[in-house]
Amino acid sequence: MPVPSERELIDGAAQGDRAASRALYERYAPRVYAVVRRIAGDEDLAEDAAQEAWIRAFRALPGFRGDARFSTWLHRIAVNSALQGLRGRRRRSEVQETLPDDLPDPGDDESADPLAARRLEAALDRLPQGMRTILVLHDVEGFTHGEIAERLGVQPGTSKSQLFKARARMRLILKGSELDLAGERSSDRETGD
Amino acid sequence: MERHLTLETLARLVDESPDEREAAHLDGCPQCRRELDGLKEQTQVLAALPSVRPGAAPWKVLERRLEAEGLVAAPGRPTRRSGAARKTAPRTMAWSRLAAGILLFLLGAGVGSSGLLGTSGEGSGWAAAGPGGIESLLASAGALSLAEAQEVLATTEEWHRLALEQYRERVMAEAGEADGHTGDPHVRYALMESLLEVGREALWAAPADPFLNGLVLNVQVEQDAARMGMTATAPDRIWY
Repeated sequence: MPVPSERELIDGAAQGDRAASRALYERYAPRVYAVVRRIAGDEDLAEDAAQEAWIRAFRALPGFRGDARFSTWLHRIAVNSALQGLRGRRRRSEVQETLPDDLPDPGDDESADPLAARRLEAALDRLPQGMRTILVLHDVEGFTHGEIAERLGVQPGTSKSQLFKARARMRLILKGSELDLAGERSSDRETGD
Repeated sequence: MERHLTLETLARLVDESPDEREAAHLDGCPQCRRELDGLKEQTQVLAALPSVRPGAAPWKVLERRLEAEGLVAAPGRPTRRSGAARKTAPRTMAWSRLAAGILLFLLGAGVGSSGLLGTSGEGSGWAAAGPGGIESLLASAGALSLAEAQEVLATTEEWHRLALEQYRERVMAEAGEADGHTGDPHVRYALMESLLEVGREALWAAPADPFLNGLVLNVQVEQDAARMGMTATAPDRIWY
């Protein structure tokens, strides 16, 4: 039995076909979840945002005209759902004072690779929400500063400055000695910029 | 001794070229070069992060919601109805009479002869008559029962959707959509913006409406595509 094409799956799902809907879901769920998880910064919000993204996508599917690639179309929906989820969440303290338990010690990593993907994921969760959102949208998802500015309602310059702060913070987190390096920076890395 | 470059400055140099002073410092400072290399590597690995599997049994949860909204067919039931099917769904006599009246009103007002809801609506009888005509029609139908009022509401919602669909089609055609993206991306972007504005206004009135949500999302995606077309043709695309 031939494997249905993506277009056939889309058409089937648009008509409410359960098998086609599930096949589309299985194909793209990891990608959708990855983007909302990284923007959300925690599992609960990510689960909700991913569900919302899929519901929106299935609602909108009959109007999908194939002008953009389906993966691109779905990705945009996922990003929007994650951002809306963040806006709707009650404000909470952005800066955590302690490292999360699942952030590996830099010296414990068996691969000895300080930039292993799982450490990056954990470090992303350590970033303040605003920085994390911009870092994920720019460095992970490939949005331009103009696109980020439009989605977040900020100036492109703000997006740039927050990105640079976020990269610097990530670097410090990954080196695993944020406080020491911060001290080093204040005493040794001052600049006349 | 010259002070080191800050991490934020180095983070900027991942995307941008250093100025003369920064370049001179980097040439003579292995520590800052090492930090910059680390930031570049970090950025490269971020761009290549793998997908992440969702938690346990998320499809089952999603499936229940899709069923509840009629977005997938329940076992043994037909698949969800298309827009065309909705339009031909059976209605009561009260609805039929009123719908016929509204249709006659619209046709008589010239909408039918000029194409339903022309792109700008300028000069159409519909726009000229305003809501007063519909009010008169409703008044002439006498006092409506609750069921009839619900039918009228459903009818006007249907007309609203139809009008939006028509409007969308016209805008898309204007944007060069029908000719396979041959239109100017700047024009497309502006037209998508106007369509988005109409869609968002409608969403204020009916935030949960699946058709409107779908329309807005699709237009957002198409506007994104137009924006990419604009930036792709701009010489200073990477401006940061």
